[in-house]
Formats: sequence, C-alpha cells, structure tokens
Amino acid sequence: MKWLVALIVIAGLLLAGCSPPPETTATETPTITPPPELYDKTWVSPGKVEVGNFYPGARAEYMISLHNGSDEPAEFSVSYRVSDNITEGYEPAPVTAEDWVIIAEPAPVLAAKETKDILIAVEMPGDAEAPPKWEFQIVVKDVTQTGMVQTELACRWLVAMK
Amino acid sequence: MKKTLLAILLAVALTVIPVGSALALPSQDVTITATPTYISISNSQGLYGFGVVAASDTPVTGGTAFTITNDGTVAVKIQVVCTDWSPTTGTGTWTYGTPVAENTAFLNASDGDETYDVYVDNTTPTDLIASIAADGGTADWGLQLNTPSSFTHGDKQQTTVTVSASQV
Repeated sequence: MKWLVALIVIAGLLLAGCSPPPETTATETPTITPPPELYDKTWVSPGKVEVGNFYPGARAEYMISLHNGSDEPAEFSVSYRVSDNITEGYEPAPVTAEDWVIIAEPAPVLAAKETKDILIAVEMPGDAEAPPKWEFQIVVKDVTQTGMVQTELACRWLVAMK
Repeated sequence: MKKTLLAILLAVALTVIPVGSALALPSQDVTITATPTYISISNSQGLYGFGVVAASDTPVTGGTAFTITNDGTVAVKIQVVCTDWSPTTGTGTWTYGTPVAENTAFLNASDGDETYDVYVDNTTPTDLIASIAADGGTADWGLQLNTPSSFTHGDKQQTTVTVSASQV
C-alpha cells in the first residue's frame, strides 16, 4: 500500500514537472501620445508588431490600441486574417495558426473619441510547426459604417522563429 | 522499510529539483518589437449607384471617383475586397464571380486611371495601391461593374467594397 502511494506521488510529480507552463512574453504598449490631428480620426496602433525568437510552446502578448474618431459610439470587429499581402522574406501564417491567436475583445464598442487597448496573444502549441518567418494580420473595422465603400485598418504581425 | 524510505526520498528530491526544468528547452527570450505608428485612412465617398444596367455591359465610376486619404503616420498599402451580391429589392440575387454569366457579375478596380485591371475578389483582399504617403497623402481609385450576360429577374443588387490599409 505504501509503495502504491509512493508510486502515485512520483508519477504525479513527474507529470507535473514535465509540463512547464509556456513562457509568456508581454511587452507594454508604449505610452506615446498620438498626434493631435488624429483625435478626430479612427486609427489603430501600431501598424506592425514584430515577434522574434518565437518557438513551439511559447506565448507572446501585445496590446494594440484602437481609437474611435467619430462623434458617435461605434462597434468594431477585431479579427485575424492571413492575406497575400505579405512582407518580403515572410510566408503566410500556417492554416492552424488561427487557433493560436487570441483576441481578448473581438467586438469592442467604443464611445465617441475613446481609445481602447485590445490584448492580442499568440500561443503556439508545443507540437506545432511553422515556417521560419510567418505573418498574419489583425484587422479592425468599424461595423457601424454604412454604404457601398467602407474602410478597415490592419496591423501586421511578423513572427520570426528561433 | 528501506524501500519505503527510498521512495519518500525520491519524491522529495523530485519536488526540490523540478524535472520540467531539466526537460524544457534551453532558456530563450521571445522578443516583441513595435514602433508606435498609427494606421488611419478615410475614403471620399461611401455611396455609388450604377443605376439601371444592361446585360454584358461594363459601366464605370470613373478612375478618380473615389479618393483615399492616408491620415496616419506611416505610408500604407491598400487592398480591396467585397461581399457577395445581395438584393435590396425583391429576393432575386446575383452570383459574385468571373466570368460573367446569367445573373453572375463582378467588379474590377482601377488605381486612378481608366484601366480597370484589378479584380475585386469577394473573399481575399487584392492589391490596389502599392503605397500612399503618410500625413495626408492621397490616391484616387475607381470601380467597373461587369454585368451579367443575361438576367432572370430585375431585383436591385448591392455589394460592399472594403478598402483595407496596412503599413508598407
């Protein structure tokens, strides 16, 4: 009986020890005031996020900022996209990468002139594979827009593997 | 007794020396770099109607019908994408796609001239303008409708064209 208990304890410790939590790298969004002329414009910042030394099992986080420049509240969609608009030297993100990207708030509602930070995390499974350099976009669109022609803003995410 | 003691000692040792540390990848720091740039564009007009169209026709808005202004702090690239056709009157619809066919139509875009050589896809954004300068740079563009080869109904159709801006 004592042997059984001891074996269970050892097995439990081994299982717990073999699965370390993924390293999380989070970089604070720089608190730089946007140009005053952008107060009345809808914008997203930054335009490009570069993740380096990434590897299976790692997690990276970054806050993108979104500003509603209109005089009315607006709902936005924040979504993941892989397009053929790829930076030279990079490849489109693997198909499964969509499951690795977490958008903390995919449908934020912003008051007039409000700025909001949205957490974006990339959590690559330990057994996943990716090209040495890959890219995806986080696309932001004001879904209260009407009319035949509408605009959206994209933030590039460039990921370089270790 | 000795065996039990040995087992307990092993358990304690495993607690003190986490096995995970030994099996994990060597220490490595993921880096994140971002320059505080701002992406912002506006389009001169959101509405355009082609009016009543004939079969197998190619009415255009004019190559400078729309103007995109880059209000952001970095140069941007512009892509376009659109939705499927949907009726605004009645229930009859068109199919979006190329080539034109019965009730099948599509849009082409131009980057400021009268050659509408950019196919506007209904799923994947396609390149329209390579770069618009920051801080107020502008670029004109226009649309061409490629109407169906024939119609089975006269219900009015619409699509939404989205212009997407990303840092060059």
